Amino acid sequence: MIGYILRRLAISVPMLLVISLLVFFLMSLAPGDFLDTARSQRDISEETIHRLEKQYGLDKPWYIQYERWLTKAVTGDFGYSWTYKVNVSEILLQRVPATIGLAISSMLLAWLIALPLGVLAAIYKGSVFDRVSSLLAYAAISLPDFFFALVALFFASVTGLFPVGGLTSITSDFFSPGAKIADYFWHLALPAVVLGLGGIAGTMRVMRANFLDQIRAEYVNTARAKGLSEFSVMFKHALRNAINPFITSLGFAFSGLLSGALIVENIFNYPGLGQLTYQAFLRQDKYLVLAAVVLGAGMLIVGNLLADILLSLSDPRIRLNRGGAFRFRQLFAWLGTVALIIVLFYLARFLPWENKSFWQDVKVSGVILLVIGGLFVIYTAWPVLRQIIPKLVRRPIGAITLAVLAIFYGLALLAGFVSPYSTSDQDLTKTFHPPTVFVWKNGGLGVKTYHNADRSIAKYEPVANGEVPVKWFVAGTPYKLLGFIPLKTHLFGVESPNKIYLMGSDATGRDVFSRLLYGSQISLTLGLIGVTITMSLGFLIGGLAGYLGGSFDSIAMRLTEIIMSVPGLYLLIALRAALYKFFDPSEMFILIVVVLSFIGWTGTARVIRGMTLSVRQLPFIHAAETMGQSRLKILLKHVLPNIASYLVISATMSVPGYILGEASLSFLGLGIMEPSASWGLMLSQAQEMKVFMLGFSWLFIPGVAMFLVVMTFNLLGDELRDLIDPKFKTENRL
Amino acid sequence: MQKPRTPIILAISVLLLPLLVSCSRVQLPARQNLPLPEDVDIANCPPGKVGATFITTMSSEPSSFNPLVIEDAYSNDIVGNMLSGLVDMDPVTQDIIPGLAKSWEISADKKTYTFHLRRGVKWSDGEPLTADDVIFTFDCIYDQRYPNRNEQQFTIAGQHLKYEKIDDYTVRFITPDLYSPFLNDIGVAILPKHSLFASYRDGSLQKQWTVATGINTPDSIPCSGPFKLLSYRPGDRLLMIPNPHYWRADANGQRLPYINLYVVKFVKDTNAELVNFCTGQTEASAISAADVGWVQHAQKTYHFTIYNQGPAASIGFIWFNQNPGRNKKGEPFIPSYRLAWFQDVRFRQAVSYGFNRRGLIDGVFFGRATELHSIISEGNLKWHNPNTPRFDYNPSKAAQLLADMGMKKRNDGNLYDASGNPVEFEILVPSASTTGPQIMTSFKENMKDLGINVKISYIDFGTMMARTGQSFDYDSGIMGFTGGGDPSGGKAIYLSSGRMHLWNPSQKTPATPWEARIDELMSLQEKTFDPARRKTLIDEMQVIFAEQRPLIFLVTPNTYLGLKDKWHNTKKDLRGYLVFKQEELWADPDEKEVRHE
Repeated sequence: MIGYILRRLAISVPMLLVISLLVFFLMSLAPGDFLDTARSQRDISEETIHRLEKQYGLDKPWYIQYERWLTKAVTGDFGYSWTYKVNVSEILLQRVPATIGLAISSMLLAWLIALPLGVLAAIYKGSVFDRVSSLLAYAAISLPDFFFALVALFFASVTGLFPVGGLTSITSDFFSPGAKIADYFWHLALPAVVLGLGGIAGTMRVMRANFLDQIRAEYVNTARAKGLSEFSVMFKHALRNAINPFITSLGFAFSGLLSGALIVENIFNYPGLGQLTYQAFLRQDKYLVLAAVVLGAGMLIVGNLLADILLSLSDPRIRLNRGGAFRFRQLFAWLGTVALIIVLFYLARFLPWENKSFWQDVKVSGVILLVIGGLFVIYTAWPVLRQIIPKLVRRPIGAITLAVLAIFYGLALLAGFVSPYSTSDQDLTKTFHPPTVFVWKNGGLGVKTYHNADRSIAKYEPVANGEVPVKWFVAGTPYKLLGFIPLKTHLFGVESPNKIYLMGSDATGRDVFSRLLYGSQISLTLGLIGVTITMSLGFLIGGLAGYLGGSFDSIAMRLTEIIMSVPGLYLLIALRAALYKFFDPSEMFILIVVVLSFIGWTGTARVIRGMTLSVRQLPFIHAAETMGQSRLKILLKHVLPNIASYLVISATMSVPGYILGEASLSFLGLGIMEPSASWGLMLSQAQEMKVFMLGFSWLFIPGVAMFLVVMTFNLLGDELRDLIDPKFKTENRL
Repeated sequence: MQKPRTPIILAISVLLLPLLVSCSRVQLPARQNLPLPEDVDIANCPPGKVGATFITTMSSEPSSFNPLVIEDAYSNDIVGNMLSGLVDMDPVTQDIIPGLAKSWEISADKKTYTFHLRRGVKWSDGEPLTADDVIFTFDCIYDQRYPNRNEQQFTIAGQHLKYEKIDDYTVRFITPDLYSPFLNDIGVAILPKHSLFASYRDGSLQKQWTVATGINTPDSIPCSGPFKLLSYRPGDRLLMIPNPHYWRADANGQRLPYINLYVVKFVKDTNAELVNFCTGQTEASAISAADVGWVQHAQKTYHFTIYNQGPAASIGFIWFNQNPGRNKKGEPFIPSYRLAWFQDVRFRQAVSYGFNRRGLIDGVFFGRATELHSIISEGNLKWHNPNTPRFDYNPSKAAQLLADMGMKKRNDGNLYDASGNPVEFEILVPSASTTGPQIMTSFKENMKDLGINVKISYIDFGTMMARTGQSFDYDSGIMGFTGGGDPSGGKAIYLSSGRMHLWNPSQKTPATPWEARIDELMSLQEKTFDPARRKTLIDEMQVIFAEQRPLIFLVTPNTYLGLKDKWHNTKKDLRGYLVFKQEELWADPDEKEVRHE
């Protein structure tokens, strides 16, 4: 056992090394540095700044800075935080307890709710309870967590039942120990609930699937046959076995919570690691970021190790020393990966970073590759789809979800025609205008007009007898239908200067409805493009790794492990900052897709590798090999069709990740930029207390749309899974 | 089922970890009644009651407690409560009043300043505060091992100040040249020599008084201000208690401050900050113009009042790149025809006329903002010139000016210059700015009405600094500066040689006659000691900036302050805005707060 632990820890060393190198490299690509704030101050002289640059080592290239850091880090000195002027470990250790407390309590909370629900849903499979609980579980993951956090904050401020953020009460220093504990949990409650909410759905679905598997197992029949009560069969035998996989997922669940905690910590002002790291990212406090990311990855590694040990304790069938003979090979794979990455970084120095036309070419070739990938995905998925869609339409949920998606995508296509205004048409005299009310007057549809009764709180009142008729097919702002047909006609409108606001107006008097439609073009295609990239990349790398095996397999899998070990949101922020300067602000859309897919492909690749491995053993592959078919052909013609159904399900289920991912980035101010519109951007602009308090509720409509679409994709994926393979093992990818 | 419980027990014990860290119960030390110093300063305020707790929020944390290191306003605020300077500023009149120095004399040639320190003043650890501390402070500021922002401030005409100790309670400063804002600048925090001299000598001065000091040994920072540090928990809160040796007292001989515990809670999210205030959990809070509408609903329930503090002292503006230089490859930073527009004052005036700032105020700021007309905001009452030329929204005037430049609108609705180039420009907007997008969308629409196409580029702050300060490959940008204080503090912006002279920084000789005139005015006013005469010089400078419009001024949101009604000893300044000194504030500690009437 001790040997096993030592070996695992030894292997984590190159991993942490690569992660730190990766993060440092990404941060060095980001423009500007820690002294930007000082540079913008009018009374700090240039000499002072030069001296500071020297003091911080910022005048040296990144690899020298890294080397300096590394030589110190080996001795346990992880550098100096420029913001706080102390050693980073001192700062980080202060924050660890709060984050771990939050992560564990939210995980416990999610399990306490999800495990019983999952068990019950499995026992009463197909009942109303099963359906309702899964619907609710999906609902819980269909809204971005920052939205829940703000609702919780609003709830706390209105009812006064819970504190509005913070770790403890202001006067808690003077409390008795008992009161302190109570105070601590009182402050923990809301953030833990909000953070735990996201885990419930996934955990519940996995539990349900595990439990179903166990119920069908032989030993359950045996137990029943020997006359055990149903209660003991279910809870003493099946339950214990069904719980095992959760212990395995502990490590990864933990890392997910670490990055998820970033947003919740920020909103609830919970002084944890996430909040600290995010601020450090923004200020480019390099060593602090580096240490925090390494710490996060380290926690993941330790978490996984603990999970494996716990698993072996609870399940005697599992032996830890399995695979011990391969340790040298494993070590070589690691060394190879590290060497490869270092060579890549070295080569990166020779890229023409400043050459704009070069990057333009890179982008164009990226688009071409994407189109090829897209065609390839459609080509592969087509047989499955042709088979599945008729069946899907016959099932009520299938038909409804398809119809909802058709409506949303249809509206996105026709956004220019259906919306009365463009995304940027503003009216400063009508800011925060409520939705206009329809009336039937003079034999036609009309809308009321409003005047601003109290400008200081944006209160509007209808004008008596001020109704104006709604006109159909009116001329307005020119737009391009489907991106190329220039038109001026809009489906409806009213005589200017009156305005028709189906869903109210925003802070500069722009029409929320029009922006919602234009925003759907971005939000809805983002998922599709992202999925295309992840699926193509995942299949290419995972498939080849599974089929070829050997060193390609080892290196590819080490790569995925590295990427998965960096808490997701941190990697997103670092990547975005690094690539930002190569994109025009109007190309943010592409940047976000690239960044999200870079993180997304790893999971798919690992699953596809596993599936390829098992398909490879089947007789028809051997037959094909004997016939002398090329490897590529076997992979494309024989392996791929057998895992295509998985690809379809997985693609459907990953679209929501992109929509919500964009929303999270937008909330942090790193997403789509004005004047373009996206649902995430619109929702993040509604995240102000005045919107809640003054009742500008229409600004949440983008959230409703997001909820509907994400929910629909989740339900569709679930339905597809039921159709394609009812016994399909649910992959826990949360 | 024995085994699966282990993880749960483990989990619960980890959960309780943070408690163990903070389990020691803090006892608030009792107020000591130490004798007052010989030269005690008697505060000009009605006596109050001792004992209340003051709780406020701050959105950012201190980066250090060392005045030689800090660069941000938040740390400054906190350290300002802990350390005193030789002189202070009266919040009501904005005049310079005595601080650690009870009086001073200025020589006939206006170059020698002699300060007399208060006798009997002690640091919070009981050590006497003397001229040695003052000399030590300036030794630190000028030491090349410790880069700090004060050094530049005390470099006059390229030379350092001369300073010497006359006796234990007298120090003398000699300025190398005439320098009228000297008294404004000299109020820097005085450092305790007895506590810092060892680290000054061994070169580790900048590693003293860090946040770690605040966390681990808060008592090791000797203070001369009204408060001293009790405890600091990063990300959470900072507690301060009265300095038992503070040098001010009230008319009854009660040593200030009245507040027994001063709590600063760190709340990063402004939403949460406001919710904290409007549910009665904090005593005071700044409130942004857009939020006053809903925060005021809670005024009656939680007994607070929102005071309009008038326009902020900061300025916000759009500027055009007027840099005629060339990059390393020998290409001009921006195409010459564009440079010609940007250098034409008519263009800049036209943009000013064409921007509907009034509409912006009504729509976006709920009517709670003021149009900015001068480079010194109305918020800086002492120096603002109310009579600068105004450029109120007037699209037809704007169109006329553009036509005068030979620009014509064609059938496609776009404006073209005399050589047929479409009039369009890109504007850089820092992506972190919250009101930026709203101002920009409205600016873009206004320019569209004139036929000018504006491309808005949201970029992060680092890129913006690099492009506007190093590579200069940009058309225009939007930015803001904090303001207030003496106009000499804005030299980096005003002078043509300044680093923050954004439109054309670090010029060797002034590029235009008006920039030359501003350089001249700035240097004149530094040598002028008559306040009224100085004001006329600064007024003229503001008129030139307003006419020439190198900066297209935007709007200044009004600032609002919420304060609970139970606090006494607040004052009104010359404009009628609420001001107070933390150390003079008091509330009845026995009064129970009534909530939800």
